[in-house]
Amino acid sequence: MKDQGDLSAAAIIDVRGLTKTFGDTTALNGLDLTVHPGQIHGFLGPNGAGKTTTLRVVLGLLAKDSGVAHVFGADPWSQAVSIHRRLSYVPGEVSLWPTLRGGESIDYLTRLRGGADRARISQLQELFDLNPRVKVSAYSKGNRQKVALIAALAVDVPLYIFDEPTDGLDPLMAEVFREEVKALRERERTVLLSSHVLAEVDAVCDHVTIIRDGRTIETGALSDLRHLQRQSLVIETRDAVDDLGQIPGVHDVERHDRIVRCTVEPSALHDVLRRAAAAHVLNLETRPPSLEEMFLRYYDRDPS
Amino acid sequence: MTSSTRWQSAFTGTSTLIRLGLRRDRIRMGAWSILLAGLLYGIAESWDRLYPTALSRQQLAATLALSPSLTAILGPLFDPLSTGGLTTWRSIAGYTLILGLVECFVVVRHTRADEQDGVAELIDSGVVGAGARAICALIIANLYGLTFALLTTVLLTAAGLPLTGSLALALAIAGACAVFASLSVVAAQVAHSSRGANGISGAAVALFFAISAVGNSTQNSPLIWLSPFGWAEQTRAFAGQRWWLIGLCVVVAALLAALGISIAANRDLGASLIPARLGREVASPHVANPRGLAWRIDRTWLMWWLIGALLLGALEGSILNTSLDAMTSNPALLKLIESLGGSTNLAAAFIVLMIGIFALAACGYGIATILRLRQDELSGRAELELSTAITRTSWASGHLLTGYIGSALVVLAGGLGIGLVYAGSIGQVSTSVGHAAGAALITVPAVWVVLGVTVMALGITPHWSFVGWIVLAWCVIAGWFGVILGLPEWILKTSPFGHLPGWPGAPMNWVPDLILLVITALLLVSGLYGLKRRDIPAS
Repeated sequence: MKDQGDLSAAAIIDVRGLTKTFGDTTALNGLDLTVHPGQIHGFLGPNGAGKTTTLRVVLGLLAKDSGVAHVFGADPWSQAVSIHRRLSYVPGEVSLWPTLRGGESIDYLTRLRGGADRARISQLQELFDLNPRVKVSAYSKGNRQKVALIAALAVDVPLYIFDEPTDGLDPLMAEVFREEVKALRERERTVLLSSHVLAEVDAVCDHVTIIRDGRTIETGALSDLRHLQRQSLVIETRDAVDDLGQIPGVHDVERHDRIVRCTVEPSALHDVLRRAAAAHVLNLETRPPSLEEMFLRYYDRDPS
Repeated sequence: MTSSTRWQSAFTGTSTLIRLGLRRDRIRMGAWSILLAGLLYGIAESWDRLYPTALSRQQLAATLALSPSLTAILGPLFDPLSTGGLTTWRSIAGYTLILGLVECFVVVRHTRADEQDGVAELIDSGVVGAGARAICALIIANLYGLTFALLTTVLLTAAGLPLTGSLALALAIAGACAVFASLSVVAAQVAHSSRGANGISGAAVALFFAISAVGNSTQNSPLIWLSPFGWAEQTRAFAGQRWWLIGLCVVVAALLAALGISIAANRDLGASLIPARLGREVASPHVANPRGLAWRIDRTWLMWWLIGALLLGALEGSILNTSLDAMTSNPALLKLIESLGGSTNLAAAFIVLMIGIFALAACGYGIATILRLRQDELSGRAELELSTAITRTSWASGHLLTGYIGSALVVLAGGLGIGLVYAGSIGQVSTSVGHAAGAALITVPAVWVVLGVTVMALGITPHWSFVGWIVLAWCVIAGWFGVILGLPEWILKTSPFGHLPGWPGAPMNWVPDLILLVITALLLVSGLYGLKRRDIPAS
């Protein structure tokens, strides 16, 4: 994992105090986002938090109202083209030209980005299981998503930006995408990945910026944000369990009869399971907390 | 599910769909009805001013009897003495054409276009029968016709015309248009894309128009009975109505509708009679920038426009010669032609008049093509392209070039069609081809000004980018109905077409064309400047 303290290296994306309003609506309200070279950076927030608006400002598609936005040290609004030469972007809602074939769309987009290796395109088409000879109008949302992902991954650039990339993909294809992101990390490319699913960010990212209502509420290395590492547990036992709340690293304990719900830091898992086992476990569910739960518990407000 | 129960439940949910559809269409529907019916009221009011006496009207009729080309396009004049008869003659073909096309596009928008955009999937997964969307589209399209018919009947009676004749005229138009609406339900099942379905419907309407035009240009031709245009005209509103012809329209419309709906109800979502084929895996090397892409996307539709313009021009050229001899000796007709084309040289005036039609059509082609940019912006395709290493101007240049050059080619194709066929029949090839082609090129700057308004709106007021269509509608009204409505000269001059020299019917004057080109350039530059400065997508 890259060292967060390595601030001497210039940030690839440097956004500070960014604001943007659309009429009466405030989309961004002093947002900060810093992405350093080599990071796989998760950009996490509920729907409507301002993720897409931020990405569009970073791409120079929208003009900011105030604040700082620099990409590769340049202003994206006036230097869009030279910045775009060094990045690849996949929007959240992929729409393509209905009369083109999938393969034609991939070729067009990669050519606009300066061209891609044919063998690499074929390899990605195979990995993502896409038939490039079908007209785009016959594609599902997932297949359109694949076209944009292939066209983005086929070119070799320093920065990749993905907006909700696995939204339309089935789990198998989402896994293929994660493998590709890991390969980018090995090649020391920088990735900014927006998502509203914590598990998605947790699976591939090393850094995360969490935003809500157009404002950054937390940012840092994923390993430092301990509460993101917690597991939600539901344990059903035959006998009563000793009070789990006494164990350091166990939070939010709720009891209903012989069913206990709690969230547990990795360090406390062993102790929790030992006590539960002593009370004869009948059923055990465990999952990472959802973004919604996280907002409710740690940021003390409903995300909606 | 067996096919019979699938059929029985095919209509479930139709009423809900119609309410939804009316919400989407009510403003458009109202606007079209008010525009068309209001214009018709203006036409009906004009006759007492233009041809006040029975004698002048008889002269007009005598003239028309000698001019198959006007009759071909406008249809026969059954009762020259009554204002209703004259109104019917002047309006019925054009109205059937315009309203027919409108209804076709409405049907396609509610059927194949919804299917293509995925809206249909959402709708069909609800408690909605398999044929419900097709039925709903038909009902909404026919509501366009009926609203128009109702408003027309009210306005024409208010103008003092008899109720029976007014109703017959309105229903004859609505009836013929119902046939076209049903036809496009079938087209929406045949074609895989909404553009294909629109193309098939539009071509069918144009073909029926051509059939009745050829039929009308000769006496007692059976061809008129093969076209809904002929049925509408032969209903003879205000001249001893033949109601059964409206009935014929209804029956044919119902049969075609049943065919279309039964295909719709029994096919898979997204399937079509002409299936989508697998295509090339690798893009042609030209598709490497927005110009190449725009050419790849627009070329098929431009080609159809060119073929259509060439054929229609040829048709007009062939009618032109058969009638000119008879017409030259007739001063009343000369007056009529002059009021439309503005010239004393009859052949030249006709060429200018016809090319004026192609120029308006070319505006339609150009506006639709340039507005692809707006569609790309709204759908998110622009975002994808603009995240790559291209400037916004480069992005816009694709559809701008196909729009601008294509629109010039459409006018030129129409002019060449007229010139070549007319030249062949009079044996003066170089002169008449040169005249027609020249007249076409002179018209192009006016077309480009209308396109320029679209570009400027796209760049500066993107939410009003449809304003080009309003300008075009104004040009149609000013150019084709301005004189008959008695609008003052300065108002007519607000249309760029009002400034054209009218060569070869009148002396050539380069100044208006040069000014129009300068205006075009200014509009383009301001539009592109706005595009560079604004958010994409526009908020």
